[in-house]
Amino acid sequence: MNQRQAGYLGISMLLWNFSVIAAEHLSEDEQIMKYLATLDFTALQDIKVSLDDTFDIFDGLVKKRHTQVASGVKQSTQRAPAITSIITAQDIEAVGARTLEEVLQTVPGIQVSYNFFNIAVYTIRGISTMMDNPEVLILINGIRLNNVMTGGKGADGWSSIPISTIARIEIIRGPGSALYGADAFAGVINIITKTAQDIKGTEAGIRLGNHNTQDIWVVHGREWKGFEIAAMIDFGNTDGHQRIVESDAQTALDKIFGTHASLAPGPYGSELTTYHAQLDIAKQHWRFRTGVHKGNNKGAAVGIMQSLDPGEPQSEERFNADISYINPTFSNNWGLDAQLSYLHLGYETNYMGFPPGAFGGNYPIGMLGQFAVFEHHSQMTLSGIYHGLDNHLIQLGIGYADYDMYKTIDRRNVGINPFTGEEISPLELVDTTDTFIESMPEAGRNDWYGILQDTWTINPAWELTVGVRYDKYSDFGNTANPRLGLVWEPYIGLVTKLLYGRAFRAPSFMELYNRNNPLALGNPNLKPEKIETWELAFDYLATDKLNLALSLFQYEIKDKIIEIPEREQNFGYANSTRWKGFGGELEMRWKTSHKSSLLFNYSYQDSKDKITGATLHNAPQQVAYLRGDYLFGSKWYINTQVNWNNGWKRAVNDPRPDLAGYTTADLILRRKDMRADNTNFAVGVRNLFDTDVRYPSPGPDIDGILNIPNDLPGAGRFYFVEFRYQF
Amino acid sequence: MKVSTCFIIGTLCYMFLLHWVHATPQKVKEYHLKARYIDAFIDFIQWPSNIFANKNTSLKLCILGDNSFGKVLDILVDKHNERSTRQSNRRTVNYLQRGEDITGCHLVYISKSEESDVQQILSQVKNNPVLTISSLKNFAISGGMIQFYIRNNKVRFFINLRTLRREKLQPDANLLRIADLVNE
Repeated sequence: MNQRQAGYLGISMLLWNFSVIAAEHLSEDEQIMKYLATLDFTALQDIKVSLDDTFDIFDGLVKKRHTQVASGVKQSTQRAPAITSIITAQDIEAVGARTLEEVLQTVPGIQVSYNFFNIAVYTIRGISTMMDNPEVLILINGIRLNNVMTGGKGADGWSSIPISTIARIEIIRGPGSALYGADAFAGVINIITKTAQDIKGTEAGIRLGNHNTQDIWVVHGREWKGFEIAAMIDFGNTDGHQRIVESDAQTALDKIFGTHASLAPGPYGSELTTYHAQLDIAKQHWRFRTGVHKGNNKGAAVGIMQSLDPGEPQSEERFNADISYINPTFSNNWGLDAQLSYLHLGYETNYMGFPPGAFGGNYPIGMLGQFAVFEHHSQMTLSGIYHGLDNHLIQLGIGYADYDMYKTIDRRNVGINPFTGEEISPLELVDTTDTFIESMPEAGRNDWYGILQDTWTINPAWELTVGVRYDKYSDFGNTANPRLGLVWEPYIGLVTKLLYGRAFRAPSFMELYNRNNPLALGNPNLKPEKIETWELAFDYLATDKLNLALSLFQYEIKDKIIEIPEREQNFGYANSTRWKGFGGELEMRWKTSHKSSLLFNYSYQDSKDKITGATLHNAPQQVAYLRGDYLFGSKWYINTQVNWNNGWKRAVNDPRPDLAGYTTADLILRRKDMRADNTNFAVGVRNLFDTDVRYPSPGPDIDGILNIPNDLPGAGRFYFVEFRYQF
Repeated sequence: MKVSTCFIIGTLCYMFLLHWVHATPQKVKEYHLKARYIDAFIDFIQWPSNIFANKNTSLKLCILGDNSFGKVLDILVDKHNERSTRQSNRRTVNYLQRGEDITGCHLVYISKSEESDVQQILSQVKNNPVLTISSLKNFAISGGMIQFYIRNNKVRFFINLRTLRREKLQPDANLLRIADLVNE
């Protein structure tokens, strides 16, 4: 779609808006009630109605939504002192999402792409880094999931969160360090899992799709002897899209060495198998949660060295447990929250850096290695909410977190053998773990923190939130991050927000301590990255069926950590640049009729490196999303989604023309009638027109070689059937 | 034009058409009918005579939790108040959130969002002439008075006569004739 067509799209949407607003003055409710008033009991009993809550996506889109992620207390998203989006289980079901990534594509300001190692990268307002995006904080039930080695989703980008366990997702785009500390930098994604209240009974589901895709889940919720119990199990398996990568790093090497070792053209490794189980037990103010997750056989996309690796070399494990006490009426004036949590993360890859025959035949079995990392995270928090002062809501909190990367494993058939001092034989793997050759030594850190925040309701129309969080890290020191939010609601339906926030990203252990890798040398003197963001937002409930929202932002990042050239062709991490950006997001949620609704959002961002002046190429400048839902008859739902973006700019040293954007469309047909029977059946197609989706591959390497010149293929057409049964 | 562009424009036109097709015929929804019933219950149930002895006392309708009625109850109450004479009391609608005080309400509709708190809410109004209504399952057999339910896309209701009479609320015979009566 070109710009002119995008323009037409915008104009037609606007015209459509006006037509609806014009039609509003005839209140249907009034007419219906007038009619009903003329009927007596007997006649009323004969009226057939359309049901409110069978699957009220239409109302759901414009209904008041609540969020807790913005300020730590539950409040309406409209008035929350942050730019938030809420995705409910109902939205997830409506759009037929199978992964968290498919859900995030519906959120304004977020762009999801995949990198050369099959890691989904969430770019919020143009901020991300290629390998793993540590600028976004991922929380599960408020507990940090980001690992400490890369700071982001993990070396494998983790093997997904099972969608069947999610009750809602609360997303902040913008800073969140004043509440959440490190890495709540470009945004925060808080995933809230289902409790017994959300399930009520048992739901079993199965989804089958092409690419050998199977998902099976059972969720169960009940009350038992005063305990509310939710138990969930989920299994997922897919071969992934496996679209062809035309040439890779080895193709370039083959030209130099005159060999034919490259496995390209070959498939982008995107397979994955996951197993998941979790338990949630609550009684009165207490809640205990625990879960295990295992991801196996995760494909390596184009491979760690950008040379096709056809194995299924990655696996991941997670274990979590937490216990919390939440009592909003602990005493007259105090509410109390306390939480203890533990998280174990493990990741292992058995990779093939280059195929057999690489480097003129010097590696007859290929350049191989095994890398693994294991972390323990333990946290405790205590926070109080004081409401004893008129018009003030004061939050106080303290906490402690310990992050221990307690074990790393490094085996390979390249480099120096630490035991003999000679070159390692290319025919055997040598375990360099805990030797001076190991690339990633074990490390740990802890963090003490305190939070103070006041929400002052000056009068019913004005609300001021002021807060600060102070963190004291054992390795890089102290940081204090304030926030300020002024919310003005001149009349019911229109809310204006002015927001300021400072946030930081903690340098990861890889950035601090990586060694023996000439391309990414750690720097123990790194400071945290800092971002300052200003936002102005409007939320307008034009009618009870139409909600319009506009947010404008600008930010500046200081001490941005990037890799810079050091002596002897080495590259190392340094706080050496600044980024700045501005942009906005426009959102429309519209209940077009009793049986249809429409959601549209458009995001624009312009981000630059402040020192070089170059435009950043992390994400498209423009992204748009359209979702339509329609109830057809009384049981059939049609959902359509369109994702559009205008493509990626290239880095200054990248000779390729800019990467073109793409438009994809999805279509889902669902039959659901929860009252008459308990079944829910859907068929769907993603990327209906099989658009050739491409994500940018890395630019030229230090030798000026483009390892994957044709960029990275994204998923093509995917079709699935889904069946759920409620017992 | 690319296929995808056609698709977007097609979708828009299609949604646009749907809007007009569906905006015209009026369709009664569940909440319209429930609101109409609630309005009628007030006319067909007698509160103890001392409650509205003072004609200036307004009858206070309370919706506890998520409001699923939109503006419909307000429309009904406004209509009632417009035509209200000295013979009948004015009415007010109050939308309350969890934890807000419900004493003083003459009628409480407990939304589905308050499912976990139902017993606590009922105990708060016990021994007071407060008409309790809900669409929650088993409401009428576990201490509530009137419970809406759906059968064949029609709205029907259970009445628990015992709880009603315990709080000195007197239902009209015409109401009982069409209700399904249940016991605790």
